[in-house]
Amino acid sequence: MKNEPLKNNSLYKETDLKQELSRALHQLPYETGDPHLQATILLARKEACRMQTRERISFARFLKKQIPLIGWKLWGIQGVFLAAASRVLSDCSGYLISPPRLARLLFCLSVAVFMTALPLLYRSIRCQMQEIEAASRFSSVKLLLARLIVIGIGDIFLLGGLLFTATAKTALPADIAVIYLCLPFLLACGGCLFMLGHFPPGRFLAGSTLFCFALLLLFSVPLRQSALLFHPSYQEGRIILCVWLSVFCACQLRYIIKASSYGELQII
Amino acid sequence: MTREDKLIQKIEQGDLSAADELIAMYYPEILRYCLWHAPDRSLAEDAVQETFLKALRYFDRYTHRGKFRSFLYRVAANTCIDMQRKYGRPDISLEESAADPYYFEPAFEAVRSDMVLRQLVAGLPENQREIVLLRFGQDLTLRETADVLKLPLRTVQSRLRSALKSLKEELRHEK
Repeated sequence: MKNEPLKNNSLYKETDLKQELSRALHQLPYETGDPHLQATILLARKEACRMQTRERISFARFLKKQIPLIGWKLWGIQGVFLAAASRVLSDCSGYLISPPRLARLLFCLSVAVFMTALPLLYRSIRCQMQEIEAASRFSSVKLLLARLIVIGIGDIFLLGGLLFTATAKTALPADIAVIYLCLPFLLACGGCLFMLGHFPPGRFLAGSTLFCFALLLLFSVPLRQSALLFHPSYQEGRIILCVWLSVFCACQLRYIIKASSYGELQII
Repeated sequence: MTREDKLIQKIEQGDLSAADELIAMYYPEILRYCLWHAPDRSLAEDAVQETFLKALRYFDRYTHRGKFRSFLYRVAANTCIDMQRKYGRPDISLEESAADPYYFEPAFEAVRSDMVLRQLVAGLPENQREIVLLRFGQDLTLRETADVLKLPLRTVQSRLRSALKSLKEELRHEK
């Protein structure tokens, strides 16, 4: 038998090619009533039953459960820190009459406030709490968010307490004290959130601790360049920096939720 | 509201028996897609099963805006990628080697022509092959194909044009 050539390809129209492609690519064998289809449906039903028997919990309820689990420990540590810091501010109020010294102290205290949460944050990253995720159907990212909220509540109270003590025990105006506390806190927060989203979990604690200690060094050593940060007349610049850092922190948080590899550790 | 919309609404309301019908609706095309990506039929069937189980598990993350098909194909594509990493790529040439190239009959000629086309498609670069399979093998629209592959629409159009041009050239050489 002669092997006739295929159709005249020089006249092959695109429409013909598309139709031929569609026909050729639809031709892999499939039988209706395939027993494997029934097996798949059965497995899907079992999976559906298994999912329905798992406890469903809202994010708010899950967040509330974090308080007896971890909240009281963190807030207890932060309460002790607040008492110690208030004592320092009260005892040193005479020595701190000089605004730059007071500014440096508040900057350092603010970074220290952020550092109180680092061990808890690292534990969350390291352990991932997979058992709780399996029970609550939460992703690693939502679990981290719950932890960040608990940490954030403690930090707000702690910073508020420092603000009250600083304005009560010294002559520092409240508006300036707020920025003296917010700016270094946001700086520490932004750097650590960046590391959370971009560093491997094992390097987060070392990286964030080093970063915070570097900030403490920068703010505590009376360098000429860093004096610009503390000068009362540069309040507007500090406010702009605070706004910029807030946006940066929000972007890093969004990155962690949407795009970082942190979410790859999800169970579901 | 289409039948698919009603089924998805039932599943969202907790009636998971509607999932049976949805699976039966999409099973043939997902199997056909997985057969293109699996070394053998058994692994393709496993991939199909895994696709539907994952789709069910991740269903609460899917917000229905008429794009369930794209969602399902995305799950299938990722499942096939995992499978290929584990078991290797399919060898389409084995399917075609059984045919005798010198035996002629009109009906057989059409079959042989289809086999040649499938081999040519299998020989395309991966980024073009996937688009051709989704567009012509699975009847997805260009927009759905772009959604599944997470590419801009223009990129999909451009790669499809290149693929069709390559296929035309190859068919000319086949003569």
